[in-house]
Amino acid sequence: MRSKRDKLFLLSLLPLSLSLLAILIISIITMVLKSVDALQRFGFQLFASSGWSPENEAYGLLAPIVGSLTVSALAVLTALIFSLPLTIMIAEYLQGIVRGVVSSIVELMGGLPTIVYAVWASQYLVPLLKQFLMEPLHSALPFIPLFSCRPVTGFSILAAGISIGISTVPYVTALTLEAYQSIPSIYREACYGIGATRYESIKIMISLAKPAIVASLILGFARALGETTIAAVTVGNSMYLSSCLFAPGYTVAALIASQFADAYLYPYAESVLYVSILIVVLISVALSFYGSTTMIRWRSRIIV
Amino acid sequence: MFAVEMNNVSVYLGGRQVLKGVTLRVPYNTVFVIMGPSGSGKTTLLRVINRLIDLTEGARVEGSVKVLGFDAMSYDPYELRKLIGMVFQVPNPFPHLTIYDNVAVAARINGVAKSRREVDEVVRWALERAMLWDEVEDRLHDYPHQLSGGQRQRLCLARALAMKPRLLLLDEPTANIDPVNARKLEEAIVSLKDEVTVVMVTHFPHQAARVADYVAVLYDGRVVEQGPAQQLFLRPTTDIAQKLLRGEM
Ligand SMILES: Nc1ncnc2c1ncn2[C@@H]1O[C@H](COP(=O)(O)OP(=O)(O)OP(=O)(O)O)[C@@H](O)[C@H]1O
Ligand SMILES: [Mg+2]
Repeated sequence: MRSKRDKLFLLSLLPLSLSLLAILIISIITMVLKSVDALQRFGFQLFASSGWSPENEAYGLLAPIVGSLTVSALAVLTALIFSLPLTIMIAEYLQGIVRGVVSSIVELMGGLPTIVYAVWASQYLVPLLKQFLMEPLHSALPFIPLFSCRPVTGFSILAAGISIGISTVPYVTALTLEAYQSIPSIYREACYGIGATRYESIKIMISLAKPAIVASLILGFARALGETTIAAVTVGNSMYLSSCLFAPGYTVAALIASQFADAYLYPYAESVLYVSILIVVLISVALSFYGSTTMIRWRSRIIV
Repeated sequence: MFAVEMNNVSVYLGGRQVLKGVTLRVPYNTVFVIMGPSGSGKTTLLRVINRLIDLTEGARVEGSVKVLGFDAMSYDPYELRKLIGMVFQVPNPFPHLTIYDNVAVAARINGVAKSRREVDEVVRWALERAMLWDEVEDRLHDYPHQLSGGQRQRLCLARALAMKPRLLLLDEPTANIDPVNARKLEEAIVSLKDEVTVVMVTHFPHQAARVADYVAVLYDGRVVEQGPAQQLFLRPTTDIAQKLLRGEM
């Protein structure tokens, strides 16, 4: 039996949580309403073509949408490359002060404003990537479509993916670390109990945590989709759709950042931008929902 | 020669002394039962034998522990654990592995079986010895959460057996299961004696009477009585043992 006071307390919490949900719903409705004009005018054409010339009423969202998805996929891959070893290090190998220092640094990095990453990426990371990753890959494997173009400036889909990936490392690491550490110790004991070495035990624990790691990556993907500043600075801002990762491209977020201010000058520009936001928001919400529920299901499965 | 030989073993956990100079001897190929009230240090004692105690931060062990002829304190703990199977107080089959793989992983890690066929054989053998085979024969690729609590605990026994251990540590293996399943597990334990030495913790005097060759009574971190089971059940000398055997503790 809940006491009356409990109920009252719960009731007092309700308006706040509901209002948050309401804000989400209202903003989606607003986006839908604002999108209607463009959708009626251009229809499916909007998603099947690329190009951006408001003077001629020519809009195509294919390049930024594909760009957003590609950049986020690369970002998640990058985040995984850093997050998994970090998680294992922090959870299994580091101890005492060192462990505290490393986890605080990761946390601190998560708190940095993204403009810091954006500036750092454009000044240092992109040139390095161009010289040490893109150019070697292009000369070694030019027949692979993804590597088929010569990197010109370095600002590209790949650059944006890796830069955003690095900025999401703290977020993804926090999620994977939390999942890893929430595995009940009885399973670690089971590993050592059957004679596993530390390495074998970590392998078993990671495979146990796999659904949670995948969920973390999905949540990371959703976050990378919305990343704006870093994308705008590193992606190269080109509406041309290319199969090559070293070519400049666009993401929806970068497109909005660069076009929104002037959009009111043209009849459909603003509405088209709303369509693009709507797409990204819907994908994000769906992925976040899927990621969180996967995480919850995983947790209920392993807790005894 | 004894399978386990403890001399004056003390364990400190977070500054608290949990075992206080335990001395005991477990002869080979016997079932050695440890009894004692909750919190008396039974689990801790088992964890000293296979050095899982190392996983507990701030744990300190004093005294000498010999296991299967090796000095457990100085021997490589990973090598030591390969000789020792353990079934835990809480059933802990790996939730992400199938019934088959839960057993197979133990065989593979210990190099007991390599080829697919060898692994198949060991898995079957272990499940049979754990008295589980008949119930899971046609659902080896189900997951542990689809099993009952008692089946899960027997799966853990099968996993421990698949290591082909020489020593088996059982921590209240029937604590959470019904009498029928408990009896099955007891049968399995007794039938194992020819191949392994068993050290088992239990709360149930009747169970102890059914399976034990030797009994040690632990109270507040001390062994207050130990000896052959019959002798101890007929003439317990200490007050604590008497109460415990009557189920009043
Ligand atoms: N990590 C720990 N840190 C500090 N004290 C601990 C720790 N683990 C166990 N203890 C204490 O050590 C004592 C012995 O614990 P142990 O788990 O060995 O008891 P037990 O005999 O197995 O009890 P039960 O029958 O309830 O399983 C208990 O008093 C417990 O509170
Ligand atoms: Mg215990």
